[in-house]
Amino acid sequence: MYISNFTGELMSLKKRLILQNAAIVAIPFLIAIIASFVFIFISSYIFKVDLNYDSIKKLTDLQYEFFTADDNLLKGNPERLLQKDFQQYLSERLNKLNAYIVVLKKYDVVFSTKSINPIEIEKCLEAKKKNLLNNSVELNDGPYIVKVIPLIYSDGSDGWTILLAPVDKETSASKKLLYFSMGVFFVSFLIINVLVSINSSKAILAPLKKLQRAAGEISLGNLDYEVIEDGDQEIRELCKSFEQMRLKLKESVYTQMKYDDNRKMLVSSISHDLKTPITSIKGYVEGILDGVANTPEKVEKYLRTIHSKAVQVDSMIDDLLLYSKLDLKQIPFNFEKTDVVKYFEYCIMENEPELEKHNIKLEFQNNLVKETYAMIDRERLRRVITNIIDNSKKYMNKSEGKIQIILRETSTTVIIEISDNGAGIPKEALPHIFSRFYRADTARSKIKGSGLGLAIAKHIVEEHGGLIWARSIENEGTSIMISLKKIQESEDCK
Amino acid sequence: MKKILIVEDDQSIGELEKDYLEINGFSVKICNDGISGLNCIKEEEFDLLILDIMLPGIDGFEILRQIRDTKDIPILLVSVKKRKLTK
Repeated sequence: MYISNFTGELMSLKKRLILQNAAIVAIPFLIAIIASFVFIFISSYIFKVDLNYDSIKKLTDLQYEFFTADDNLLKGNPERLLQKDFQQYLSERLNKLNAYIVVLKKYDVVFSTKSINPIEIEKCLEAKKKNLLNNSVELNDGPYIVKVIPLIYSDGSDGWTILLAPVDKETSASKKLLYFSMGVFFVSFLIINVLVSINSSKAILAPLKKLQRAAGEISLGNLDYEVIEDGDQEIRELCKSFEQMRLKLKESVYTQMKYDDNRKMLVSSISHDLKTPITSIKGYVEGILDGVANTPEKVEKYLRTIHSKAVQVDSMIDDLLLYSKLDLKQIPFNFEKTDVVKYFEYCIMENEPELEKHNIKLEFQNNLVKETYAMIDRERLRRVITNIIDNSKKYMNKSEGKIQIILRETSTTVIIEISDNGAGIPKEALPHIFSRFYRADTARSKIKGSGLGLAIAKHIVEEHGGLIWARSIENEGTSIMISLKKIQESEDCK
Repeated sequence: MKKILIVEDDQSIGELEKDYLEINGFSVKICNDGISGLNCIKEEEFDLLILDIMLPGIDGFEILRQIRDTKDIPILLVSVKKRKLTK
């Protein structure tokens, strides 16, 4: 309570503990001192008990004066002590000061204003050996301050004068004051302790309880229960770590769910894509068996359809196997230093005849200034090019098709652009085209293929340490870009 | 001779259906997508419609919705996964 009042919002646990421990000692101490002053004030002005330091001092002075005076008085003529009138005078004076005298000749009491037994006398004489400050003696009726003065009588015999002053009221009152102060200290110590404990529990235990509740919720699977930062710095940091853990956990659960969804979609895509050609195969075989193909030409046509569908299924399964191997990184890559221009010239030669059949022109545009080399697995990269060109072919909607392969370079990479003037890809579909089984058109059966072409291409390009991306305008065409690291000439010299 | 319209985007399936139906004495016309299918239905009278559900452009259900109010012909809905008879 009071601690957080003067230390502000953020405090470290260490600082709090130090302050609390200091407060537990210092505050009762201050209270005790203040209470003592109040006690003295109240005692002297309300209960009229003379307790202040002035009166104590006055008495001490008087006692000192008395002893000193008597010392002088008694030195020359000890016999005076035996005179009745002097004894009378002495008694009266001592009475006023509340003190006693015992006069000894040898060890016999010759005059006394107080009844005293030999053991007490012995104690008093013992006290003379003690130092001046510690000359109190415990007699039967209480503590006394004692002063012993040696005497030599005129007949030559020696003796003692013992002056006794009871330890005065002021002394016992100061003891009372001491007890009072200690009591106040003790009580306030307890109270402060309780207050500090309540404060601690508010500042430390409450946020910990919150954290515990949050942990409980998370363990029950409620990953949306936010951990709110509260309390001291260290606890806040703990909460923060906890919150980060929760978010990570949530993220991983989400990823897992997405992965599961993806797998379900994969299974349904595979079954659908395989089912379509197999349905055809089944139907055409049944057609032959049922005699629907009633002429030899029709039978041949049926068999050709069956064959082409079987080839389609076969290539789909090949794609699937290749993709799964790429995904599991089970395919070894054989990278060779390759002249990029020569490689693509060869690729074009290979693809041109097939494209001509579909009335698609294949153009090559080389913007590289000099021979450029890259590390390429020729076989796999050819697969990438084929897949991209196949896609262009499939989605060609113009009577005069055109596919362009353009080579460009940046300071570190070669960029291969394969662009067509086909149907293009809708904007919303563009980010997904490299995902497996994604097809921009919803009616899957129209376009033949595994739906894995670009996913396989992406895998292979990434295995080369390159990037693949796409740009497209609907109905105008699509450009697929591949960037590959080129081998720097300096490296070449080594 | 009864006239049947097949709206089917997979040519091989469409042609097989056509062969089966012609052998059994029907006159068959094939449309390869939803839009041309819908136009055919509006222009000509058919005795039966064999409709694929998954079609490019307009799908089978959309065609069904559009012709239900104006035409009263039996329709056979066909999909790769299952076959359903509906009127």
